[in-house]
Amino acid sequence: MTTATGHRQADNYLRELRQAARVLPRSHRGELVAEIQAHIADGLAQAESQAAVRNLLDDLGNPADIVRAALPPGGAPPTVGTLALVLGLVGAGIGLVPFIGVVVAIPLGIAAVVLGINARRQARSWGTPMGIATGGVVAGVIAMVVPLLVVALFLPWGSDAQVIEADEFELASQAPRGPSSVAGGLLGLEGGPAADQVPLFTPTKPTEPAPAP
Amino acid sequence: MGDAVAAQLRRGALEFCVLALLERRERYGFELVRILGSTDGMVTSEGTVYPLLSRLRKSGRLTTTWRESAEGPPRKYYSITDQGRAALAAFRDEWMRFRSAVDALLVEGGHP
Repeated sequence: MTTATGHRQADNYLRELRQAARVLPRSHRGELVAEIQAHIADGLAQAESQAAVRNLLDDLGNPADIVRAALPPGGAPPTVGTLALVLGLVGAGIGLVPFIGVVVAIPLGIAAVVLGINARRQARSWGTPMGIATGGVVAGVIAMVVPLLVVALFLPWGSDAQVIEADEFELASQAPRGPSSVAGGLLGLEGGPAADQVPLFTPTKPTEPAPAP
Repeated sequence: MGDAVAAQLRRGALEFCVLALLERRERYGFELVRILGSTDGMVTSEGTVYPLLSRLRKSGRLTTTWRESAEGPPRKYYSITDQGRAALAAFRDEWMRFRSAVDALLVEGGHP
């Protein structure tokens, strides 16, 4: 639903109002926005300058105040900051479990960051706790980072294939040129540079089926 | 402090001022809101009148009609209902009595 009033300030105002009005039940929301929109249209028809448009919007007041007046008595907007914080912390906790953490904690972290950012916006216009909202964002980021760190720590020791490669690299760089049984054995299996010491796979002597001259 | 007192007083009286403005004739939103907005101390954010109008309509004290407008799209006009008139009459009585009592105390300090 677009509402080009032809005035940038008025369009911005309506966008802000629509954003703030999300906390209202759908039926209230549409009616309220339509009324304010009609008010602005009537006002713009009479406004002769940018200053007059500014005055019109100033007189209407802060969109959050208007939405607050439309809330049922005692009906404060639901705070998503706490939910963001809880999701973020749970995510960070699950993130400590290797591998499962990546699958579960990162989506939780993303959800927490999104909700947390929304809650921060809400806090600015409604005065809901900003600290909790920011905590939600931070916890969400932690929930995304922790599983990655855990995986990074666990990967080299966590799977057998990785162990060999890591050790091999170490030994290959440290081992002297001579035949170290361990290194040679490991490297030989891989067919690495020391493969000639393990003649199991690669024949060291070229087989020459050449007939006698 | 002064703001808080004004807000308290306004809270109770504003809806009856709306009804009073509609007592003689119907008005459309912008018109109604601008009158309230230009009355000193009546409304701080004009936009907050619209939720009040919505509540008054739901409680049956006023009703709305769409009418064609010469200048643009159709306008929503508000008019007072019988129920609204009865509520306004009751408030008027109450207000006159209350105002006399407060005036007597404020002006004469309660001393005869």
